[in-house]
Amino acid sequence: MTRPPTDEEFAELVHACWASLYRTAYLMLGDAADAEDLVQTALAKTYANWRKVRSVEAAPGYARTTLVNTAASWFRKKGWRNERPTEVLPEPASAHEDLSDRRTVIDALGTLPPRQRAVVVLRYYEDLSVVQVAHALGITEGTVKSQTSEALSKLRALLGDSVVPAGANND
Amino acid sequence: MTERLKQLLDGEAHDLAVPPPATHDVLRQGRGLRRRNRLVTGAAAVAAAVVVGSGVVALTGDGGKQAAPDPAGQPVGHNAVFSYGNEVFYDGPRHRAEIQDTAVKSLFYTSAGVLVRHGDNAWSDGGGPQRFSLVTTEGDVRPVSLVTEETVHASDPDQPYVAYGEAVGGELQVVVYDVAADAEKARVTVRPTADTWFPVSLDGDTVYVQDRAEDETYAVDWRAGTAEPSDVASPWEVAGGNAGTDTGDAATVVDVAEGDVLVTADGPGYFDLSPDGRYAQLVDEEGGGPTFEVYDVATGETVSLEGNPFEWGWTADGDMFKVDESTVTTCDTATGECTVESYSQPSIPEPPPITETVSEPVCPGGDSYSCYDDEVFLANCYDHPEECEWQESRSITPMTIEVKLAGRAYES
Repeated sequence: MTRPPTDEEFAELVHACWASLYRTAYLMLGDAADAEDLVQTALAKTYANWRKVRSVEAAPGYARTTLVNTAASWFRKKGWRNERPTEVLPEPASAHEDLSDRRTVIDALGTLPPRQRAVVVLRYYEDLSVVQVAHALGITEGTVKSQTSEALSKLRALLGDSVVPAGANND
Repeated sequence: MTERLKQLLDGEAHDLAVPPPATHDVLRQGRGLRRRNRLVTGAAAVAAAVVVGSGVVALTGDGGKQAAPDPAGQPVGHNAVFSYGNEVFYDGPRHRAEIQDTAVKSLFYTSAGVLVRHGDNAWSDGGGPQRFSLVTTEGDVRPVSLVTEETVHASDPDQPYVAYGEAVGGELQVVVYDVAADAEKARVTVRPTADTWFPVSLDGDTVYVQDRAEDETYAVDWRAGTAEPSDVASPWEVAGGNAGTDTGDAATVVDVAEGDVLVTADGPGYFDLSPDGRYAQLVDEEGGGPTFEVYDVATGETVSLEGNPFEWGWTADGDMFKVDESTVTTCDTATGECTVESYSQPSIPEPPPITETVSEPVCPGGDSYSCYDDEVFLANCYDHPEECEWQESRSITPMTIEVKLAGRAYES
């Protein structure tokens, strides 16, 4: 379909994409209102740029890419989430201790700086490659790797080796 | 080695409480972005010569001759024109007229005065019926009987008309409405269409209209009743014989008749033309800085003005102005010199919130919105609505009193 979608068609698309996009957005941002705002913006951009989208079939992928790009631009804004919900990391968990029952991964993600958090979500939730993450966030592959390594170390300290085994940094 | 991490991420993500889709807000925001994203593609050139539609034209009144003289005696002035709520400042901040409606949506310069589009709310799109009033240079408010909905409009400051496109029986028709005579002036059938709303501009005897379904822009001679495909790639920015366009590398202003490039932007963005087409504001939505440039189309000279380009409106003759709570700043786009007038923002009550309802499929078992991941389920619901249970959800949008600036397009 090269013509723009009708409002009814686009509403159908919104319904179909919303939950999946929201989950990614929430994991990346950790705030319900921000996540909703991000999804709304990504879908609105998809609607507005239909000439680039071209078809309903391509729209979910376009919206997801736009969502990540928009989040990346938010991260670049000065002051984005400089205030951190959890600034002090807890004591490292021992190798025999599994804290995954006590602390959720989402809680643990909340301790990461925004870009590190996004890297983890894109790598391990969206299953993107290092190259794809670098492209999506507008950073180098080296930065993706270093941010991944640093993030996994922090997550290991919080969630335990059973969730993030030592050596997982090189995945 | 990160399988467990992924497993936990998937599980926790799945268990998130997902809010209902904000369909109304997405569409509203999308329409606004679409209006602003009217960057055009393709080289600018003269219009193609092939006549594709010898349209049906219906002329009234003078039978197609030049428009009747402006009943107000002279075109609208050179001062800022803006509104706050339903109050219109039609000739700088000291000349005020009240519109008998809830809110103003946008303001158009015509030779008969300021044409005001208004309605139940300030929304430019999706806000219900769009009503019109004409504010003359004397400040008289004359109701215009035209009512539209989900329609883009355009005017020419040298003519007493407003133009728009509408789909009638599957055909795109261009309408030219005489706001001074309060009567339809011409109606031209352009071509069959699958679309429902049409970007448009009015420049002399030509209405430029886009059929988005075909991704084609047409130049409609509304007096002759003919329509030709046009290489004016976007109908949003055509005025005074000039068009804002894009060569692919940079925004340009071109002479529509000759195809000559008159001005090329020094930086990123697109050109927003003044109502008379003599000046062009470079709008950079992606980046931008504390200032923006306004180009003199004839000379290529520029002046810098401070602030967000969208905070500035155009006067009828190509100066720019902005409005805050206590001042109106008007800048000469030829010299960059600005004057500041004091302004007393009217004290009017906040409008009531707007409630909308939307129908959505109910997930089996009443399980929140989990079924929205199920494309097959959703597709079936929309294809066969009788096979699904539907629920209505309400959204309540608080309304604020909005400032609208003439010369600035608010429509999608």
